[in-house]
Amino acid sequence: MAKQVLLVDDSEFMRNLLREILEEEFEIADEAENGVEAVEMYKEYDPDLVMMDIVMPIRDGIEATSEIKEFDAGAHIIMCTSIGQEEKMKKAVKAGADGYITKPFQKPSVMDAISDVLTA
Amino acid sequence: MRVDLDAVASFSRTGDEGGQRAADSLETLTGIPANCQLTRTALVDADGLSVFLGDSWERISVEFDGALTGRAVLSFDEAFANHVEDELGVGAAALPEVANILTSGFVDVWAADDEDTIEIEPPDRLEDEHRVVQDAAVIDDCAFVFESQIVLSSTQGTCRFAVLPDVESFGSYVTEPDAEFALSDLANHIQVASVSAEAVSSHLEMMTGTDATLVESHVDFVPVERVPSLLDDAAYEGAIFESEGVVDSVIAILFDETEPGAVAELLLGDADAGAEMAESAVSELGNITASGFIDQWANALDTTIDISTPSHVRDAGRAVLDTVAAAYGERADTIAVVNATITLGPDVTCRVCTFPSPEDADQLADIADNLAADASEES
Repeated sequence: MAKQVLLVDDSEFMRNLLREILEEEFEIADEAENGVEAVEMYKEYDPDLVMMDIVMPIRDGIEATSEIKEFDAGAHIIMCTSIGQEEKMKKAVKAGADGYITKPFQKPSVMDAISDVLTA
Repeated sequence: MRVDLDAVASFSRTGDEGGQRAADSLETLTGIPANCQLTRTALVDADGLSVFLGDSWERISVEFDGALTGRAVLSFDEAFANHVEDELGVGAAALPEVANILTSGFVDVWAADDEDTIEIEPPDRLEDEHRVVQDAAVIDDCAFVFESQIVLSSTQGTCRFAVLPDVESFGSYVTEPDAEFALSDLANHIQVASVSAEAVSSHLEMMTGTDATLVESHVDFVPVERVPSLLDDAAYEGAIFESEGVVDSVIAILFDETEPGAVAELLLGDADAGAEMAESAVSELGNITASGFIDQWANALDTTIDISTPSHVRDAGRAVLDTVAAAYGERADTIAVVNATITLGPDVTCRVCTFPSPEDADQLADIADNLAADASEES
């Protein structure tokens, strides 16, 4: 049975792109447009993996990651963001992110990051 | 020792008056209402100087010496040149005379400002494009240019009136006494433009899979009311962001498309993906490219800079920048703008205009210093 992924990004275009990359091998549980929706959907679906954008309206990805990790310390979350600032990455790791990929990305780098996180 | 950015602002302001005086002189000569649309002091990568000055029908150089020393390079486009030649009725001989009149009008303001004199040499047609770069005064690969754009009310044509001051002359204007390296500090700002432009170019290429070509990058110091003139009236689509952190900025990533929807089609590969998806695609492309270079600024100081979510825009270039001018208008007289122009395949041009907050000028200078040091180490 395919593993479930929750996609979190305020950009419809980016969610589409991720869905196209992932849907061959994963089941897309749902798509959230902000951190609040992400936390709600995580609790609803209990997905195997979350692909989480950082900069989003209402609640950003770092806050949402903290909240999901508080709820489920075993959650697998990959930050999937255009921000490549080293200090920002440290904050994401501190919030509980298990992996980090920087946009723009191509399918191999996404699949590698997922593989690293799910097999760790 | 830092460059006195207030002095750069003052240089731009005096140049602005000079540009308008030049336009008035032209109006007196031709009888055609003339106006100075854009004035700016720019730091330009010396190799890109010719591109920065744009394509021209004819270029004419006029050297001057005195309270300000350097030379003017006047680039006439075809419409402007033909109109002036017809109006003055002396054929090709008209342009050197126009160059003479414009330069005289410009330097008069500088001479009056310094209560001194400036002598000008006879105009010289620049037939060899390489001379534009060869004759420029350059420090650390950076040329300092003051530019006014003069337009005539009855034609679409433009004369780009660029003044390339002698380094020593410009340095004495904008640096504090005994500040040996201050002009290098200012020149370092060109690194902010070139590093940012390269990041934008590579991110655009990766996102779209289309060849991106960096056309030019530079830093402008512009009187705030002239900010809208940095872009033309073409319709642009793109995204506006605000960044917050060690340097607060407003960032405009704008695409000029030969065909509406060309950028979205590059991303989606489908012209019928729907307006909402097309907007989302363009905004996300802007988001990724903006993040790409703001990351470099943040990493240069080992800190973070946050970027807002994108606001999608579709409007005339000047209208887009009107909003920025309004935002900064009450806080600054002259502002710095980090610019880049990148072509994306044959159909799309991307213009990036970043407006760092005037209050963060020192932090921007620190970023420039660190990026310049990195570039020096790499070479």
